[in-house]
Amino acid sequence: MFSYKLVGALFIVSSMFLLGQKVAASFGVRVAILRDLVFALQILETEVSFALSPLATAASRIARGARTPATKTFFAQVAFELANTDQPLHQVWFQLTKAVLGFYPLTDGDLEVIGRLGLHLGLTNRQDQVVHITRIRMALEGALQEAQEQSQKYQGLCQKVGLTLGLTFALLCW
Amino acid sequence: MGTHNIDLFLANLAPNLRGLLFALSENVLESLEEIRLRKLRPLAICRRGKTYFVTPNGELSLEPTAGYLVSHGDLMVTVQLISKSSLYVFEEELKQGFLTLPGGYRVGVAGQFILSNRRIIGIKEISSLNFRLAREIIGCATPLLPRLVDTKGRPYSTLIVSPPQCGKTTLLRDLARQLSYGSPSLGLVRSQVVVVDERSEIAGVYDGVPQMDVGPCTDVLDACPKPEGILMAIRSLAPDVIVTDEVGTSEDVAALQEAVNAGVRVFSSVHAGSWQELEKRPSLQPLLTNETFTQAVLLSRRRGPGTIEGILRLTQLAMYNTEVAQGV
Repeated sequence: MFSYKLVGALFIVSSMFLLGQKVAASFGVRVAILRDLVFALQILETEVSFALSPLATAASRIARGARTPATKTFFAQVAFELANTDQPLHQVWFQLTKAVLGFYPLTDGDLEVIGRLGLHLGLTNRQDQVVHITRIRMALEGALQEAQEQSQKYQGLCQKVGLTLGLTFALLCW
Repeated sequence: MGTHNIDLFLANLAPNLRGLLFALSENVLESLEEIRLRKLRPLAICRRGKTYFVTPNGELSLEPTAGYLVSHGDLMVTVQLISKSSLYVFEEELKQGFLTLPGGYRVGVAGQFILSNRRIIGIKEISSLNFRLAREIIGCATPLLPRLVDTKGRPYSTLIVSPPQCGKTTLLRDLARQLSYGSPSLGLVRSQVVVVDERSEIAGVYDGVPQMDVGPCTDVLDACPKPEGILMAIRSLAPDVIVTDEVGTSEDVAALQEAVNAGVRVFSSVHAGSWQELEKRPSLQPLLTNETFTQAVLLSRRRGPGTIEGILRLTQLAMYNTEVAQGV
């Protein structure tokens, strides 16, 4: 009987600990994606201002160099849709922001900033495009800073809360 | 018969407009010369020198009120399709009022231009697009060639004179191609040809590749202003022949004279309804009096685009003009 109780208690504690770990990790994932998106927009700026690459080419180059699956999938899809559909870019951009990036632990604010990029992307001259991309990148850098602070603040906390809740449940159920 | 891929051409239009045009008969599509999109105005096409309006049922009408109204959305989607959602790539072309598409097709653009220090720096609010179907008529210069070659098989410097839409550019393109290939049957020596294609109309370069056949020994200076391009070509490309379109300014004329004085043969075109009209254009006067061109070909649409109305020997004309000026 005692051994069954011990196994049950260990199961509860480890489950809660893993849950805490998962929540803590999501803060790190958001930071990684935002950092990657900032990096992606730096490349986009270069592609637009110096290489004069069309957006589909630029997006596919960004996808190849992306470090997170979120950014890689998003830009690869943008490149694919631009090459294969007649839909206006802003529609494609909004749909993919929702469908691809919405799947990851980004806040509504983050998605709104990324979605805003699609509104004027490709529609003006080089100078205006660079200004537009820079503004969005700066907004993302702000979100990245906030995400890093949150990550530092809550990552350890979530791990500890997970473990503590697990232990509490185990004791209560004993 | 011109060679072009109508599917490739119409793929540049918004799906709504594409659907309407695909509904037109094959005969109409085959003779299509232009498609004109104007915001909140009827969709129009030009064929055989006439303008027709495309109805919402995909039929042709001469009545503007029967035409399908091009919406803001149709125009914007079309702009995104032709620019691949990247207008900034075409910034320099747009400043000149056009875009070049795959296949060498050209789109004229109208809208609100942005100026800085009285120079065009961009365009916003695009309100009209004019799709011109560039036609490549292989061999259209063949009947003319024997008259344009001297006894040593070298071409004479030739000026092509006609009003718009009479086939000047098509003829120049085929001349560039034939001069580049050479023709033993005509005694035409293969020449190193440079096309100075300021408005990307002759070679239709897209992504660095001429979309029209301008010959194996042809270099293309794409989107390059004529005066600079001609001088660059003389300095660095050692051409036998320079081909360029639409001479208009005194700088163009001076550059052509430079080329001729450097031993290069030149082929060019000029807008004019007749020789008399051409003589009234002050900036082109030196061309008519200083033997830059050996002869001129006059074109019209009388029996369809490319009708040859006459060939003038300009050297004799220049001699005559000089004698008249000197009161001989």
